[in-house]
Amino acid sequence: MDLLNINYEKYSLKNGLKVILHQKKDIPLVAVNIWYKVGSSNEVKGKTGIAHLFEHMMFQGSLNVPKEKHFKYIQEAGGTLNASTSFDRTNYYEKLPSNYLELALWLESDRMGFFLPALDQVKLDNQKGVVSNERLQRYDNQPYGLAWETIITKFFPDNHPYSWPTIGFMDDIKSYTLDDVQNFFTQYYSPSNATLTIVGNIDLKETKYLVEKYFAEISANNKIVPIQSSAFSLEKKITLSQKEDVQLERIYLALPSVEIFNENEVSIDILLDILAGSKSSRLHKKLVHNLQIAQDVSAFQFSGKYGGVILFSVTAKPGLTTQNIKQEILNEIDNVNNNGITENELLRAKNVIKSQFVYSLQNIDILADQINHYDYYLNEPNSLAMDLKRYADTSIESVVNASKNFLTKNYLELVISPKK
Amino acid sequence: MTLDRKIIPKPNKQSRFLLPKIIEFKIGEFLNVHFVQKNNLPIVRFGLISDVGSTIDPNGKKGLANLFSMLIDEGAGKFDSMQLKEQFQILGTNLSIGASKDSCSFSFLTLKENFDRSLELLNLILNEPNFKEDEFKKEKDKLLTGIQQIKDSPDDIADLAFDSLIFNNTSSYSYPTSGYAENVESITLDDVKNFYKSIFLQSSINIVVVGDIAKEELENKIRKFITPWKSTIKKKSKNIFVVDTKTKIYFADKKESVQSEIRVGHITCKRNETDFYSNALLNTILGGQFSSRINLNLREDKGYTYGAHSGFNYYKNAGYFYVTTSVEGKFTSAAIKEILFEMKKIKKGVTEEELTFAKSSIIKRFPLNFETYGQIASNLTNKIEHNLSISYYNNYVKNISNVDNQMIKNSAENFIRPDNAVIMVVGDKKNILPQLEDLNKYEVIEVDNYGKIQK
Repeated sequence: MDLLNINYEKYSLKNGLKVILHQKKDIPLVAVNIWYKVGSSNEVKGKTGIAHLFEHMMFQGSLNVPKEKHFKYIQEAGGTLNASTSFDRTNYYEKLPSNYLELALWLESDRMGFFLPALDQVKLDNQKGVVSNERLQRYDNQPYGLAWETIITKFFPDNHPYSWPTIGFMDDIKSYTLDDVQNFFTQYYSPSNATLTIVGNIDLKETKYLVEKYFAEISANNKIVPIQSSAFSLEKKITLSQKEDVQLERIYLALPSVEIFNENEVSIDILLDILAGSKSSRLHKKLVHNLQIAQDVSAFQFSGKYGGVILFSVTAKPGLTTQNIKQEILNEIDNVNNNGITENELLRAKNVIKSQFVYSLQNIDILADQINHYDYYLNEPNSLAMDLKRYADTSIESVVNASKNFLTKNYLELVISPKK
Repeated sequence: MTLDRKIIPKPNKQSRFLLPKIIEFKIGEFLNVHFVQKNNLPIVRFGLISDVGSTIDPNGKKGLANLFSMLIDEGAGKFDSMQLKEQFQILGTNLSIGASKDSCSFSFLTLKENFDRSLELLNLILNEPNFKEDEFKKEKDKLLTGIQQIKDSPDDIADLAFDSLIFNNTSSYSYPTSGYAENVESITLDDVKNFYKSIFLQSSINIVVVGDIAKEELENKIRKFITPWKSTIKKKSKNIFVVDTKTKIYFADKKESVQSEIRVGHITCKRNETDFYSNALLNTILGGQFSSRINLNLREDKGYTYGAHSGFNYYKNAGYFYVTTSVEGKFTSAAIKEILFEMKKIKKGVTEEELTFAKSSIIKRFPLNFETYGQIASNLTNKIEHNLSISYYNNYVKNISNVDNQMIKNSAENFIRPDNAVIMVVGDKKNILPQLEDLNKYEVIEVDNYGKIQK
């Protein structure tokens, strides 16, 4: 599809900052999106959550931008903004009327180059409070909210970069000092460790001039420690259970998957879609619709730079346990292995994915982030068409092989059941 | 040359923003179409909105409209429930059906090439639903289980109880769209069929389309694929007025909750053209954005919370003001004090600088609200729900610009009422209740998950 072809210009400044520009003029907006190549996988045990806490600190002002003003300036210009941290990376982004592009570049460059002089203890203490509350609100106080953390802690090998949650453990969050924050900045927040993507109603020549103006004088300061990680498998089944204040029992099954853009990644995606991706998927049909032993079913794959995980999650109907459910999941996997999948199932999954690719082009901020995503993992921003082709080219055979190779291995099982 | 980074960059000359052109037309006597042609992607967003929602649920059958919306696509024409879902899936079309307080809506986003077939399938659902007994039982059971799961989520409990309490537990807006368990238990398949026949098929219908399609083509397709029905229900619109009660604290227990969910607010009035713009600006200053007073106080100054914000919410015949946040348990009482402090303080007025910020933010953000097909569709839906004129969006910026400081002050005086508020708290009783007992000498009343007072 020609639609998915992204024309871009990509170049680097002398300090190593990578820049990607893509012009899109149908609405007078611009999206600015920076990826720093640092995420929670760069942390070590006992110091978890600092990549995310640091992301918060980046909104606390820099040498020329007082606290609270970063948000204020962008919102005053009619823009939206945020940031997020994952295992592999941290992104910062703004979307605003395109005549305010320079404002966004000024703000992003000030915190990239001149963050440290504005850092102080009051700001750090404040954001430790905010992040502690974020953890409480989004994880501790949500039903089944600690499942992910429980799973990855036990699932990935000790010291694997994905074996702790990005939000961080509470004791770690509370322990951070100004030194920790300073060191983190010095180590990872260098132009040479970042990519700036700008998408929207821009003039290419003027944009290049502005990028040079604001970012060129920032010096690179790179002392990045490479992450150690290797492929892994579960040597034996792991069975975990815990009681929580919930109404219904839920089972999670976690299996090792592959790193992102591995040749097996999309076959696994399609397989999981056929098994549990929609109301007409096999497990939903069987467990929720026909047998009525489950309230909901889901499955997804996380694939990152250092490996991946396949995660099934099924919630039992009131009063039921998940033992039958587990057996039914395993039976269905056997069924795929022995009898395959149908042409129609494959086509349905592909069509849903194809539509989603097109729908995703509606927002320039999502597009800018996607461009950074492709550039980070593939060193090629224009990869939407190639990515879709991976799905379109997937055969029945490769989906069945994915099932045989990835769903028949040892798994981790977590059952969360009601307290009473 | 060194760059002076102290200088805040000035914007360039503003690029022209072309507001999408809204076209309204009727097909036959009963189908009102609201349409925007948007050609940058080969997709169409289609929505059909019936003006009956859960406020019409009869007593003892709260949850009926919602259960109807869950059942209607579980099989239609010759397709059973699963086959029907597969039909949509093969098109890559996401159909979503839902009931709210004021409406039932059916919407999908589809590739242009699959628009015809998607419409045809939707029409089948609307006109030939199977309403099978076994599917009914399944959906009812799913809903009952979902209602049971509300107990797990303090944020859901806070929302439901607050919604009910601000309407004094008595208005048609005080009932949850998902219904009450005892009520849902008693709903029969005949109830749903009757709802379909004598309410849904008599309701009035609006169609909202944003897509890569010309008007004539769209009109032909709707004529071809959608079978209209007669709208015969003349709904009485009954406005809900403010009941003056003294501020009270309502508390629902969620054992071992590590945070408290807090909602503070009260009824205002239904949406109208006179106060809407000044309320919007007032709220931007008070709590509508990250940089608003409430969030800067509770989050950026005190560190009590991950976020706190406020808003005016408008139903068709009522409106309310609310502040929402969740805070670490030990800060519950302190956080409520700060919220009330901000509500009182804003009644003393706002600075020119704040008003300039709020205007700038809302006006310059305007084009961002028209980026996606879904955003434009939701703007059209908003226009329908509140009966706004076709030029509403053309005049929006001008109307915001015209608000002055005195109008903001009037808005704050009339619509922010800290002395007549409902304060809803969900948290761990043994830790939180003692904190609340000496808070401003407010009466503290224990309620259940739906805001019903515990005797």
